[in-house]
Amino acid sequence: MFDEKDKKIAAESEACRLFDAQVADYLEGEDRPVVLAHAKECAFCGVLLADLQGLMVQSQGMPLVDPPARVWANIRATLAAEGVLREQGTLWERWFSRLTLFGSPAAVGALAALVVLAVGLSVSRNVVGPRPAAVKPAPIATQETVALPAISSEDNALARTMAELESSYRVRKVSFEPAVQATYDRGLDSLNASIQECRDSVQREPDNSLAREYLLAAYEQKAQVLTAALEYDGR
Amino acid sequence: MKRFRLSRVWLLIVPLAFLGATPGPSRVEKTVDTTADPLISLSNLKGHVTVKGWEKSQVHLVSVSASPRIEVDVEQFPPSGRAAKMHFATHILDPQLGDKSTDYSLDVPLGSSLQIRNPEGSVQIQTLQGEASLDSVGGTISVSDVAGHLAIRSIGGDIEMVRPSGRVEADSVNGSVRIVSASSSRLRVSTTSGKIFYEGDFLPGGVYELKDYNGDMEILALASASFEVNASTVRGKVIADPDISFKPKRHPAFRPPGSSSLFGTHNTGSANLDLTSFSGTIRIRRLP
Repeated sequence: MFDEKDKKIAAESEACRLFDAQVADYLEGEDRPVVLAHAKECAFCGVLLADLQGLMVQSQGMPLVDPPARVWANIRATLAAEGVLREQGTLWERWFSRLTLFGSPAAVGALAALVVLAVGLSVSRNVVGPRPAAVKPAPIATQETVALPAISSEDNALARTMAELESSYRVRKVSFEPAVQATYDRGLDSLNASIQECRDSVQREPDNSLAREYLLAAYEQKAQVLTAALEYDGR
Repeated sequence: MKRFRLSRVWLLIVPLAFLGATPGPSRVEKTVDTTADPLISLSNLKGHVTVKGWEKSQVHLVSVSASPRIEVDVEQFPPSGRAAKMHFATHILDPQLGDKSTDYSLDVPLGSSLQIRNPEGSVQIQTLQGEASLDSVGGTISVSDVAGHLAIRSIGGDIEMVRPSGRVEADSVNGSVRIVSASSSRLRVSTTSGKIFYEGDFLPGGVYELKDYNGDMEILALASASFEVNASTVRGKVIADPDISFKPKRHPAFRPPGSSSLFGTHNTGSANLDLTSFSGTIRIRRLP
């Protein structure tokens, strides 16, 4: 009696495990007949599948909302309290934490977008679009002309965040001492020029990993310089 | 009689007004007993900051501000007894002030660790065993004989490191970086438009990463230096002087078309030297 019951539970568990392993693919549109078949036989898995499908339908109609600044501050505080973010890390980490990098939603956005771009640059050869027939020399970028022409959707978020950071910087820099302002402007001009030149190189030679590395490094550095400038308090 | 009194009042007011209009520099001098390895942080705006390590377990501060309307705050922790942490901060009491500079001269225990921000001024550190985190926007940063981890950052200022022996991380955008006689086993330096100059030896097993964008890079190595070099550029050049010989690698790394690169071993190749530039010239020379 018990043996038969155990066998049934074991068979259900095996089928449930198979369902669990394949349900994500099924929900992403792949053909997984086992999932539907098991959902009809197993009440628990049937309800789970119905719930997941319901969530997917309802979430499609929801607008994307940017979380307020306090959310980032709370996340940071919680991570710090849990010891995930350590204040006393390396000097480099402390340098970042002193700039309250993670306290700034714009900076978090920039870093998140950089991660997206990094993945895009390292995985996709076509991230900067198809190879053009002939490339004209790009004009030298200035701080006012952000070197982000239309590219793939992978770095749209980065472009938006960079533009926001730059826009905030332009407002903020008015209060800087002229010498500080000039130094930041020169730095950003150099970085914009390098971003444009690197993009040009990657477009011409999509397989050139060094050019990709430089492009990513230039974006990263620009985000860091803008963040540092926004955190600059004149002291 | 009344007229006489008024004139006496004016005699007092006029010099005081002159004193207010042209205030002289203000000076602070202080000595504080500390532990042997205190954490010292300093936040200034403009002026020279000089820090020297000494044998005493004391911090000796001399600061000279351009105006009495600049205040120098000194905080210590714990508030009594030997300080384990000290913080120096410059406060500008009058934002309209023309000259906002304060010069600091600090003698600190050899084991101290430093965190210094001096956005518009220079920083000079001499002889320290602790770590140092230094940043400036436009000022020059110069460090000599620091044994701890160095983290240096500037936007436009030059960086110079003489005889560093701890881990080194130095980044600039427009400034040049110069490293002389390093005995560090981990060194990472980058600049966008500045130059990089490295002179000296490489420790066995050490990793040295030097990266610039369009500035030139020059490596002056000892004849006895043992290192494996991976030098590559996207649009620049790699030049090794004829008097420094490299054994080519058995399996050279992939070279992107049109790029210039050099992969080889000097002597036994015990250190790793990774040099990259986008459009600058990388030159490797032997020290005479």
